[in-house]
Amino acid sequence: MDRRTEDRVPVVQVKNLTIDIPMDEGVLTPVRGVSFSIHEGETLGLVGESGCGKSLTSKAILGINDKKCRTGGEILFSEADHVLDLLKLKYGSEEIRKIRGERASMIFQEPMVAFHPMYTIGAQINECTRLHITSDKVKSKEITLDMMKRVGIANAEKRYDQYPHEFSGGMLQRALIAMALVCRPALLIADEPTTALDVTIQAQILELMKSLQKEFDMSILFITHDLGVVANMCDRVAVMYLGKIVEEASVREIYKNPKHPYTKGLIGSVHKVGTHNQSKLFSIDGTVPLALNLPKRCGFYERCSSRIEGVCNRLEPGRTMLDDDHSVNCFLYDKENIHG
Amino acid sequence: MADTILEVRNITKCFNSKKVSVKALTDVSFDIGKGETIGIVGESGCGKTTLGRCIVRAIEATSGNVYYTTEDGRRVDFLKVSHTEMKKIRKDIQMIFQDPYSSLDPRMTVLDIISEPLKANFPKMSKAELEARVVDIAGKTGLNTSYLKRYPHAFSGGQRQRIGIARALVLHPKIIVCDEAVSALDVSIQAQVINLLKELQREMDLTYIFISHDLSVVEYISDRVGVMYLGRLVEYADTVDLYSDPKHPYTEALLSAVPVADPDVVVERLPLSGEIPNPANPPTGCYFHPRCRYCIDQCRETSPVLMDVGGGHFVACHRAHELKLKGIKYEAVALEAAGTTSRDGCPEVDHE
Amino acid sequence: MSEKKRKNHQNDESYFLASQWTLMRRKLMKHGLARFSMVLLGLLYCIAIFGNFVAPSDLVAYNAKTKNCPPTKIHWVHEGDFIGPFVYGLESERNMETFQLEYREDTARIYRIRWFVDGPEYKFWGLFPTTKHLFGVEDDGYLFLFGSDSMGRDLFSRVILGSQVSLTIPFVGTVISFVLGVLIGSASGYFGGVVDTVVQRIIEVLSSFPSIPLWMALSAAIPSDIPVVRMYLYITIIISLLSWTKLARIVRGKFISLRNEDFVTAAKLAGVSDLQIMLKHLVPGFMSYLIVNLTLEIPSMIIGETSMSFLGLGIRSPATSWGVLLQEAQDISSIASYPWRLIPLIAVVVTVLAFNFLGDGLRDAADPYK
Repeated sequence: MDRRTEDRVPVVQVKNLTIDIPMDEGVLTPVRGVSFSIHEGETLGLVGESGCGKSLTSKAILGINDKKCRTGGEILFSEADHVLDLLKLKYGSEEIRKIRGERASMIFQEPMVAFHPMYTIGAQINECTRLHITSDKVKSKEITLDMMKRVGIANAEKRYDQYPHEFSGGMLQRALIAMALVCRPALLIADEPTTALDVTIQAQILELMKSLQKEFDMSILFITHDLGVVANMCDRVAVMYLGKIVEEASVREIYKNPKHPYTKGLIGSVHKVGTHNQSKLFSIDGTVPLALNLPKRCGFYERCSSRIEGVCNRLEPGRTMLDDDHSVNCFLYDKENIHG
Repeated sequence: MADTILEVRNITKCFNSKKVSVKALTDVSFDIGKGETIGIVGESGCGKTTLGRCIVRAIEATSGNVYYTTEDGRRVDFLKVSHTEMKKIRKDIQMIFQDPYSSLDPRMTVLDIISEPLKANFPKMSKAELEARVVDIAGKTGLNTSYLKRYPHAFSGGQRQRIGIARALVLHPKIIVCDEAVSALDVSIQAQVINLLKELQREMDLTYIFISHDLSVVEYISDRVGVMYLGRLVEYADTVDLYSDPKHPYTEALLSAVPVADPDVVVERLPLSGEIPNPANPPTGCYFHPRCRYCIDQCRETSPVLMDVGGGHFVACHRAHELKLKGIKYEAVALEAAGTTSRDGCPEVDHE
Repeated sequence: MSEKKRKNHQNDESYFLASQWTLMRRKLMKHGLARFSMVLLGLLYCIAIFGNFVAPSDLVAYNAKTKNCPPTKIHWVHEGDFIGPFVYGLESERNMETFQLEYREDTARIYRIRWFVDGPEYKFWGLFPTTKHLFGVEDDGYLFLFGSDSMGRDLFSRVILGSQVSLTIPFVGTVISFVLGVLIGSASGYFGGVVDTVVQRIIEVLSSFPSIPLWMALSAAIPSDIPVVRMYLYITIIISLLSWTKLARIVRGKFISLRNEDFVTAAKLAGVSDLQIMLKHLVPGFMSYLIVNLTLEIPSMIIGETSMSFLGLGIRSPATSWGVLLQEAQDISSIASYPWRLIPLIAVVVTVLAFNFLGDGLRDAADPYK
């Protein structure tokens, strides 16, 4: 099975995660068996386009998906002396709430709407401090202010008492990061944190995240569709398509040596600044199908230009390890199963 | 150098309310040649969207001119033209919008949406001819004829953008303003639409004004690029020129902030301090001076004017002649190893 | 509209070809209460349209002998034999202590309930005279399904004939408000500036009038000797005078929000004239919201008319409406002794509820793109 070169226990290990949503028309299966691990201090990029299930996957770790979602599989979270399966925790229970914000936290795409408009920023960040670290008013405010300074909010004392509308987008994202990291969690889930920000602000925020990661020795699950950001931020990349991870490798391998046709198509669609390549951008035909009542075949079959008739439309490819580090779900590399 | 088709001169736009007056655009001027693609980039508050809308007259500029050279060689000011003249040249300048969900009237069929401009400009056209023209343009934009009877809710974002493009093109315009036309789309769909836009440009001899915040896309599609900051055009040059040899400190900072889709490329980031100022309360002198690492006294006092520093490279900076700024290092046009685009655009597949 | 929603019907061609109205209709049909309400309201309006035919009696059948009679029981079995629906004869006797008439059934006389009987003459839809009624009993039998009032008139018939007024005045009034509201609201939203300011101030003034005193004042201005139909019209106009303001505000708001949509800008760039944009893009844009508001406007008009007539300000004798009927149920003694006089109240409540449920269903269905 999967064996990593390190024998360290990963901070979080997602094993065969499935999410079903029953609907009138059938069962929606946005996540169909996702497995990955994140080690200490590592940044894993979860890349995919709309409809691939990356947001649902990340929210499942914190248990904040809608109640309608039926989740299966395991999410193993390493605590100091034991390993906890997050999916076994009851929805909304005290145990899962202890994990949220303290051991694993999340930042979102739109910082402008992530804060309550009627409370000060300081009070909102402090809420997290008081819940998890200390309920002492003075001490918690100190800790909060310290965190605000670390994330680069100038004039933290003054800003503490200001309201969200007085902050710019970049500042709000810093405040959100402060709120997420004030308890020094082991895992930070970042769901498209810079998509809504200007380019120069995005650069600032990404730098900030990298430095804080080093300082706190934190793992990051970075969800995005921006291949430039991925190249900049991530150590490893998992590419998702239609609820499954189709390829996983180190960031270099993904960009230099992509194997799955979807990954290749994705890399080919993006124009790299600094190349004056004027040939046509590669584009993948068609659109992502609906994850409703999916037939038993490779999810990418309809759009794949290298598909093998009789194989790709009849079976679902399993995971093939190309070497220690690089795995792909594709029959092109799974010679055994083709004839099996 | 291509013939000039559009000359934008001193466009200024103020938004006035009871308390505040915001100058969204200040004295923006540049020329566009026929068949060119001009990219306009900038961050929030730079006024690029407002500029696009002023050029097409979706909103009225406070002052300035847009000289359009018509097909029969006349040079008219698009912003001040008479009502009758406007009727004739209105169809020459069209727009493609950013949001595929709000740019199509959800209560009209695709056929109605695309034929509406025809009906408005050629009221005497027969139904058969209308349909024929719609089918023709739908084919060019990759829309199946069976789509014509459907309503917009049947389509994905990418397909809706195609409908929007078809609508903009059905009148055979000369100039199209693309206002963040691909920003709301998924990466692979962006590629489809960008390829389509380039193809249509060749086929129909179009001139594009491509407004975007995505510097990678702009670099790919544009011949010349203009950089805007807080309502002013701060630099304007040929694409490779601007990207490899920027002359304005803001452009330099912008280029260094772009994430490159290649983990091996290490970019030395030139972080910009501070935030984009409030457009209602801009700094004195050069708008960029509070954040500029090369700021001198003159920058605080006087606003620099856009000047030609040679080779068609325009920049608005007092120190343009002395500064040596860092741009993007361009690689040779050689193709890379496995996994990237080959000549015809298909990825190479490795079989073990 | 979200990608997911669209994908839910990915292979449903009929979904793709469905216009906004079709989508709305489909969604409305899924709403159980709304469906039921539609059927109920359809039935009520049908009965109102054919009122003179459905009602066994008419408005002027005074009869001192049948004053305040309780609802007649319908029997099916007489002395062990099943003979179909019938009523017994009515006998009255004055109670010497309470001085009230008490009624007993006279089992000796049997009056069968028949279909298409002859009854009091009326003009069918004002066109031709006829005596046929949907059902009833023979000549000297009495059929008081809802009991009788203090003048011996059949309450059931009066409720049905009253519904002709109570259900149609609000409808007509709503149509008038609709027209006024759309015209004035559009002008206000489209032209903006001075026009908008003036209209808004007028709306505010009108909205701050307490409705009942205003109606009292206006209806006092109506001469008492005019024909029924004209009085009816005046009442309708009075009611709609105040309610157009709500619609106008909604239309104006929608206009302003839709004015800035990209598809309107695209139409402008294509050279479409302002008027065309208003008619083809803006008006259909708020039509669904208007329909919802209309449906919810009708019940308040029903209550308005009922209140006015109840207070003696609206419809007056010999015409009748539910409000007029409720006048008889004003004091506690009459309700205590003759509780069937509250039946018109049930009619009002049921109708208003039905419209509200329908409005709810429409509101849910109104934005099929969400």
